[in-house]
Amino acid sequence: MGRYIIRRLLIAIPILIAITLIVFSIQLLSPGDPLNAYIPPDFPLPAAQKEALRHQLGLDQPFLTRYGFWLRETLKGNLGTSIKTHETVTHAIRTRVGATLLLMGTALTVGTALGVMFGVIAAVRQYSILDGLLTVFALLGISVPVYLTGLLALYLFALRLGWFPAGGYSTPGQPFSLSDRLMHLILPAAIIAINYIAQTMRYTRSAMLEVLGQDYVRTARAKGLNERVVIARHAFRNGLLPIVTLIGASIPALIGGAIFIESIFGWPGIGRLLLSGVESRDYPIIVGITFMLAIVTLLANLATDIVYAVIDPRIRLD
Amino acid sequence: MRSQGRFKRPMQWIGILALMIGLIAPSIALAQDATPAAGGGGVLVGAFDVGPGGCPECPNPLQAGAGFTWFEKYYSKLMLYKSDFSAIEGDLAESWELNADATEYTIHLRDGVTWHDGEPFTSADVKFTVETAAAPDSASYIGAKFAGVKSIDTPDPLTVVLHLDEGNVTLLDAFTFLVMLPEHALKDISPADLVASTWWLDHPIGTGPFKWKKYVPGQYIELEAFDNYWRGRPKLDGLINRFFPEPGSSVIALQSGDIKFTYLTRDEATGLEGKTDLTVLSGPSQVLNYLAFNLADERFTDARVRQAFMYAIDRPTIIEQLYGGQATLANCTYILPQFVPEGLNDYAQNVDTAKQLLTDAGFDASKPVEIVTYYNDQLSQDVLLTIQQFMADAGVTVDIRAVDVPTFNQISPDPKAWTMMFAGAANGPEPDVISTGLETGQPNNNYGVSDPDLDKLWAEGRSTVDPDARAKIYQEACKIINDKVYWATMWVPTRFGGVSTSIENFVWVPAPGGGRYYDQAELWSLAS
Repeated sequence: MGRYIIRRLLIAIPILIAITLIVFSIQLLSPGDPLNAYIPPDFPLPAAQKEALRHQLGLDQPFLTRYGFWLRETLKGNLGTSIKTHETVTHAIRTRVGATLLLMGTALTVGTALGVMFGVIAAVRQYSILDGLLTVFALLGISVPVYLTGLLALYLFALRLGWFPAGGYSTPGQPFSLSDRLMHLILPAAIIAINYIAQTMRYTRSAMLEVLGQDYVRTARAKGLNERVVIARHAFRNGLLPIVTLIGASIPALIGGAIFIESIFGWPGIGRLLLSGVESRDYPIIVGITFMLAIVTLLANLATDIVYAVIDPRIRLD
Repeated sequence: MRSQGRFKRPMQWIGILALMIGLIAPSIALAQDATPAAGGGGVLVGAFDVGPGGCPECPNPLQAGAGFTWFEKYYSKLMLYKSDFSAIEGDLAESWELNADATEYTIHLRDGVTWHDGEPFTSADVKFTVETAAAPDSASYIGAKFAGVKSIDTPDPLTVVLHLDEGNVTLLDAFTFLVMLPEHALKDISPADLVASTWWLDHPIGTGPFKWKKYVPGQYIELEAFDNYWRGRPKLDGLINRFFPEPGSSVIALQSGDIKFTYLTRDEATGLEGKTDLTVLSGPSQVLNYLAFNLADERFTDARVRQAFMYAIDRPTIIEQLYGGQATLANCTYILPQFVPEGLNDYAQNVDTAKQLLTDAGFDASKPVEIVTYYNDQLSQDVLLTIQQFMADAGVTVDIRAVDVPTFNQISPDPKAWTMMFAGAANGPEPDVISTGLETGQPNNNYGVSDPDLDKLWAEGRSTVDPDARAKIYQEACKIINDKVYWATMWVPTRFGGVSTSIENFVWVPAPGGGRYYDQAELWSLAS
């Protein structure tokens, strides 16, 4: 296992370099640069000023020089400075990752717990009214864009009913309080959680239905085991594999955030930072976040494989 | 079935709940920040950076093209417009004189003004600010307006004399853009380093009515009342500028009472009609919407083709039907009456005339005309679809391409990359601000406009001190633009803001880039 992990980590290094090279290249291919984002369309910036700014931002350097500089600085722990706000990229990420972890962690936890539970219930009670209702819910949860549900939720629960604040992370200017934070958290987390519930439920239902038809489940029942034991110990554990994949694939989103929901609710997370970076062609922010997400994705994939081996003894990582 | 009644044991649910709390709790701890308490009541929370006049989290006012509504709460300028934009009045400047040919400005500063750290505001700060902004390394287009300043004298702490290489009366307008910076705090930072300095977001110092309290990344900036503000301590204890990446959310926050002010679109303003706790503010945007022609494209070099576009498009109907009457028709680049002469062609829609002009000019209608725009809002899309239909009636196929601002800015200087544009340009109150787009050799004249008569008028307009004589010059320019249709001028739309009725003495009017007028922020107060 140890050798496997080391091997995977070593393989991750060239993959990471390739990812950063691709991101750097995409930046060059995308229309507009930070200077274009920076100057209002009807404002004249003389050529001398434009060149001065281009030089200050390093945009006049060849691609490989810029990439080499970034790589060298990154190895020293310096991901650069935001062109728009002038804060360091590490600071920008550090001050926003907590908010994203809170939002996505809550949504993923609630979504996975409820999704697995509903999925198992739907599978066990296949073709019942409850199964039908849950299937319709899942379909809606997957199909309706979070952008729409987010605005609808704000309109209904913040404006019409007044149950929750209209977006934000906390009440501005007020000291931190857990209840205030939770009140701001519930709506956006619930919207994201609905999506996770729907996805997880569909996967769990399918996996459970497949497992419940297996010979070993029939054998367990034939041995006279309690149905709950059959489902919990024999079926559920074997049905977990695809769910583990789903959770593993969701881990990068824990850090990456939800761009639309963070924007609609004014949640100061990584997703919104990335969107703002793209809109303003803030290259250091875009590359910094992508680099971080690449690391998290590679580690999440590794963790998923390890969990596979723990859950399923047939899988040997060596 | 045996399966019924499964999963009802409470221990399972308790286990799941414990798991969830276990996962969430560390996240909450991570997400905490040490937000100190506000100063109590009297803190006004608003969305001062929503809409085209805003620039959320833009820290450097020398480089920001917008956001002045907010900047002016903690920085100050030498001059500001009156809130009706009828005249420029002194802010940190008490008075000023220009010599006969506008090559020398003598500015007398207000006595007793102090920076937020208690240091006195002096002529040295003005000299430092102008020189810093004008340095090419500052990469400031606001500073670029001061490129013609040869030297600056500071004969005493309250007097500044600017010597220009050629006459230019428009510096008065430029001063309404330029926030004053403290020499004592910034003198050791070079203009190049100041561009990306962290000073802007780390307790910057101004002379405005409010002083910096804190910046919470991604959430808001908080200011507190400046006790020694020269007009008197503000009635409010503080101001908070909350960031809204999605403008629609700010309207919901306004309606729910979470904030007291935000920018509104026309549809949002209409939706707030009849609300007793909110007031809709409105005014001309001072932004001209126009269709620009790429004059490097030989299809548009004949003025008759450009005039045909004006005749084909029923502008009054668009204003009435799509803008709900909330826009002012523009027959040249200006709508302020002093710059608009009698007898302009109003280009009332006449499709037959449009077709005839296109035929006479030999316009090649076999190829479609693409209109590129950076306006991505629904109203603008509706407007362009309507224009597309009007042009189809005249036999011209129009394609529409909406892009974001960076893409537009990359495209626009390249004459091979575009055919026509639908864009906006500030057209007031200073008539010269729009001239650079139509002047030979100016950096934002991306259209290939080169008219010696216009160039002569622009130069005369800048160096003429007498307001009446200046107005006549811009009337002449207006006539030429109306006749030659270098831009198919459309309209100046009205813009809107929504404010809670609980704010007293609140003043807000739309302006390009926001602010630049005296909004008496020190008198704002919250009704008890």
